[in-house]
Amino acid sequence: MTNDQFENIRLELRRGCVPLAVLAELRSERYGYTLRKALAEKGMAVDEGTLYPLLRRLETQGLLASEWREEDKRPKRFYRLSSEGRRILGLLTAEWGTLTASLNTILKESNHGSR
Amino acid sequence: MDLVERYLNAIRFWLPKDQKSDVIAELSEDIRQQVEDREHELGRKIEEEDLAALLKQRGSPFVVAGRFLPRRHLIGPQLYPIYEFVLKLTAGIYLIPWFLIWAGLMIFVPSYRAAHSGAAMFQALGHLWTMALSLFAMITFGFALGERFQHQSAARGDWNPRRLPAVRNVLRVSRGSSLVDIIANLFFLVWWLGGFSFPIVLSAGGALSPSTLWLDFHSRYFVPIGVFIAAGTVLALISLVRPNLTPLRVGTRAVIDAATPVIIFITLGAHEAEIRAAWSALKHGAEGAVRLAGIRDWSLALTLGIIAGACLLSCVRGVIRIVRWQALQSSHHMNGVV
Repeated sequence: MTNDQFENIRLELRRGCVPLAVLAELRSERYGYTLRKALAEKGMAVDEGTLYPLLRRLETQGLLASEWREEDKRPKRFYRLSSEGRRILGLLTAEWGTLTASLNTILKESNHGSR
Repeated sequence: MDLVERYLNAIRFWLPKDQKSDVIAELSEDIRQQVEDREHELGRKIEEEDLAALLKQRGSPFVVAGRFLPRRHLIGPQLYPIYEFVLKLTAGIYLIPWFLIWAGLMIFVPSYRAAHSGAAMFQALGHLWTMALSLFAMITFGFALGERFQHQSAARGDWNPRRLPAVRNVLRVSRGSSLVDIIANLFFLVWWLGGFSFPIVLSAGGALSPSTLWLDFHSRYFVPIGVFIAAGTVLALISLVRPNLTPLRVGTRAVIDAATPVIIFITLGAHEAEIRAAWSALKHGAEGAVRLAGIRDWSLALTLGIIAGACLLSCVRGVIRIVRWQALQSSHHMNGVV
């Protein structure tokens, strides 16, 4: 497998996890830039070209609420999880647990098989 | 910060009206913060070169704006394979035969070649190009409409596995089809050899004699066409006994299918004046015997043309099968295994 192929699959793998990470991080209110930094510090770097359209999409779906407020005399758009977002985050977290458990089992089996 | 303003302005251009100010304000703040962080890291004011690198990393304005737009496509991934298939089918049953017939006329009909040399040749090819573009546009438009209104039917899952078409092995001829082929070929052969004839009665009490075009075609190519029909009958007989086709059998059929249009084109070329006269008689509303002769000659030329087209198509199909023989064989083997 070439590096490009690995990179494509890696990005695809991570792309599916970004909405869950964003929802989880917005349990406390943040604006775009600080959200991006917080995610990056926790190893989930998301570029702004992905993050801002995603925030809009999640807001349109009713999972996030946002408002423009001034901070340090500059207007910033703050996002937080809506009540529906909180419910969906709970479901997604459970799904994530099942998925990782299944994958771990599969990966363990294939590791045994390849030995 | 002139560079940032230009960058944001370029993004603004592509954004939907109702989102412009909101998105630009948010991106503007994001860039400002990123610049501040960078300046903090560098311990100095950011220079234009650093700023250009930072903006370049964020992506081109068109790409950035595109991510805020809803995902749209003219023909989606579900319909696209069918769309591609229809385009190929159209090229196979219309555009390629058109080109082959045109090439046949250019090669075998001297008067057509003389009338269509130089600029006229490009005019004819231009006609093909216009036709190809029109068909492409019409098919694309049709599928775009389909994408808008109907494509959800398959996605909804209301399909029945029992209604899927049976797997067809193109390298195997059904015995029924071989039998029909044999009967049709024998019928045609007996007719060609003069075993019986069809009196064409076109008006009360009046029978029309055969045209010179037909008499010439029949007498000049009596043996070759007879051999072709006989060979076709033998091939069908072999297929009846051994339904699995072989490259030799498909190749022989393709040669016969290629030779028949050549003969037809040569005949039509030699009788061009007669065909033109027949067309002229019909066009100018000739009456009586002249009109009947016009109908006879024109319909005969048209029938021969259609036969030539059908043979060409069959020849192309045969050649494609031979070229893809191994792939077709392995695909049927795989179907057999499953």
